Amino acid sequence: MIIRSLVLRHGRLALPRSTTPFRASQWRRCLATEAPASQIESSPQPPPSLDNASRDDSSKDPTIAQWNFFQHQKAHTSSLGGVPEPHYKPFMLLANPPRPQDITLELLLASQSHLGHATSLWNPANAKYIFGIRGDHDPIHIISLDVTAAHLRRACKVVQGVAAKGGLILFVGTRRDQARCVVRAAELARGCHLFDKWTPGTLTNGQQILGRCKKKAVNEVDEEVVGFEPQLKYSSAVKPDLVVCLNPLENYTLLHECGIHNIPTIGIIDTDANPTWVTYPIPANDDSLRCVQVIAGALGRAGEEGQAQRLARAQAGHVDYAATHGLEMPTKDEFDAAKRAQRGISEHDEDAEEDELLFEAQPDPADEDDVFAKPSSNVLAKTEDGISAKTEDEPRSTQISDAASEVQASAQNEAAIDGLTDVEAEDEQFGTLAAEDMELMSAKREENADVASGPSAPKTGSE
Amino acid sequence: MITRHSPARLGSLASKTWTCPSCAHQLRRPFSSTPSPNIEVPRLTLHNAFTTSGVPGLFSATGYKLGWTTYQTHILTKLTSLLAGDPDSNLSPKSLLLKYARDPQSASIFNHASMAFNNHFFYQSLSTAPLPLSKLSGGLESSLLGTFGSLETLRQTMLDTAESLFAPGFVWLVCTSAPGQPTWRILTTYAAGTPFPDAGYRLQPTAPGTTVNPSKPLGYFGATSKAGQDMKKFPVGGTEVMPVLCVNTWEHAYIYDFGVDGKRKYLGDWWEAIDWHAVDGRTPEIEKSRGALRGLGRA
Repeated sequence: MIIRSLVLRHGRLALPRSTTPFRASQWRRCLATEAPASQIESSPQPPPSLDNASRDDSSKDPTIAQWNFFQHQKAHTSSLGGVPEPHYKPFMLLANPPRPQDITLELLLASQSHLGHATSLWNPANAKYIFGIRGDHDPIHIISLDVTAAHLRRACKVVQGVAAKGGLILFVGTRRDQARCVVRAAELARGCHLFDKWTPGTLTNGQQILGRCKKKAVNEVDEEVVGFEPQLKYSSAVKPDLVVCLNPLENYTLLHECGIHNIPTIGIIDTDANPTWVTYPIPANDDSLRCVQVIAGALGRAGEEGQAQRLARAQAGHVDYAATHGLEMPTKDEFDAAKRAQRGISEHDEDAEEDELLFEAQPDPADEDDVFAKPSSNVLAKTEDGISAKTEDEPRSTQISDAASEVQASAQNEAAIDGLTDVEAEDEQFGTLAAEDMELMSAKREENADVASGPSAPKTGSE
Repeated sequence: MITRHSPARLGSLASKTWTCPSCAHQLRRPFSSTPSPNIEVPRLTLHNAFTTSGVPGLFSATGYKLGWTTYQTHILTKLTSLLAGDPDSNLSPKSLLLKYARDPQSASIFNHASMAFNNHFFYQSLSTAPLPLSKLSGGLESSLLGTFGSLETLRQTMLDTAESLFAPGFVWLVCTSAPGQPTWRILTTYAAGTPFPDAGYRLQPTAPGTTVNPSKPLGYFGATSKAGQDMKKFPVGGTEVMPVLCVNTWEHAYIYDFGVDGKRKYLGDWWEAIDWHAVDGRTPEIEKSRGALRGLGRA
């Protein structure tokens, strides 16, 4: 089993439906790119085709018909008339990155990976990577392309090996315009990406910075397994097994923390960079975006290859790596509770997606006697006011804990709170909770309610 | 340690299937000081057979060489020199003709790109063993009958239209995607006109002097001019058109084999020499399935 730390994906547009409420500030702290297996592929998906569809065209969407027509026209007419010379297309480095086998000296030369910095900025530690000096007035160092190729192939082997052994790879590229290739490489290698600033202490102070990340347990074929939620809630954030840094000069803190935690690192080392900052340096030009995209693409492809190997072996029943997650198999109760919570979420998920803030939970006919069903709708309708929490507190305190109804109500509340972004810290506790936690909380609330039963009841949840 | 290995040693480890653009370029031609066309002449599948013995029933070997080999090289060389190493020189002729259709200042680029496209399209419909329409299976024939009523009507219409063109040009059989309109159409494009609606401004359907223009345009270019108003008539992307067949009525294509006055005979011979298998490949699936339904009486 592999634990993967699941955080919001980068960007508001790609916001997934998360069951744990997040603050807006946490969006930038992205450490995981978890795309479903069906979405990850190395080549663009072919458009939907009607070729094998039924012969009745009237029922088909005219948009699909037009799309197919356009694709057919494009396929049969685009290349007519003349064949342009093969040339550099920048988007192809993202759409179809080169594989490790495709690394040639000509490719590296065309990508300007041999251009080092001015000789006055030289870091003598990387003398062995330098071919020579070019230029009379402003001489620069030229990096040996064969050295670059050899180091890049070695790094690809490392990435492939780590991915094949079930490791988590983090791709980091914090310079402007490196985001796309970083995300693409992480997508191929099924790892994580970071294109924003590395928060110092993410590894050394992970309990604080990544403490609220949702974690999930997956089996050897990357299918999520339920029942580990109670254990995962209190486990520490997952650390990467390999870090690929595309601009080490700006990420010293990241590399230092990786060194403290014995995480191997790969980095693009220019002539002014210190090669000892990373475990596997790749001497190349880190200032050329084309060079960075070639290197990131090759490493991503290597990770993709490793993942394919791992999954193929897992499908055949061979798992080559040890499970070092420290989890224990869940008890039957934990498993049942998780299953129930899952079903509860899936029932209400549709409603939550339609109307985020004005969601009113449809009371389950079977639970008409359940007090939780009614007040939860009041809470969500008035979520903009400050009295929401208070309204919720009172009925909670009066209700004696009942395991089944609490789990269901928590699931309702959770689905209802889906999508809220400005929820207070206390409300974050109303996520997926195990039964015993719910009991603990409701017991605490009873205490609070007894204490604050006056007219000036403070607007707080449990602490 | 500064290593200076020879690049060839490590370069040989490269995969043969994927080559980066720089490598592919070097493999194709050796370094030479004379410029060669950026946009290369496309290779027809049956080029060798045509060069040796011509197109059976239509062109002789020399006629084919004049109409295709020499002419296409000439057009593409001219196009390369017009683009003069711009970033546009990396575009395909179709992209070029769509880009410059509305730019009268770059009419020459459009003309050469469109001519290269049309000429290639014409020669792609020819074959050493053309498949006659009667032997073609599928819904294409039924679909054509749905619009034209009979194959003789289609033949007559197309050949008469081609013969009536005074200036050189092309006559196209196209399939449209617009719902509620006739699916098959015959378009005429004078000179280097193009059938694509995205470049509808340069359809050039009529010969000069055959249309009456009562209103005086304000200026020659611009939104209020006649040219500008014409541009608005063709919606961009409003309807897509898939050309499936075209006949080349430029004289240099047939004059060697048929003479200046042999146009009618040339058109008749061309109709017999059409490879309907190629036409079928160009027809969109949706049209063939509609034709099949129609053939079964269910459309």
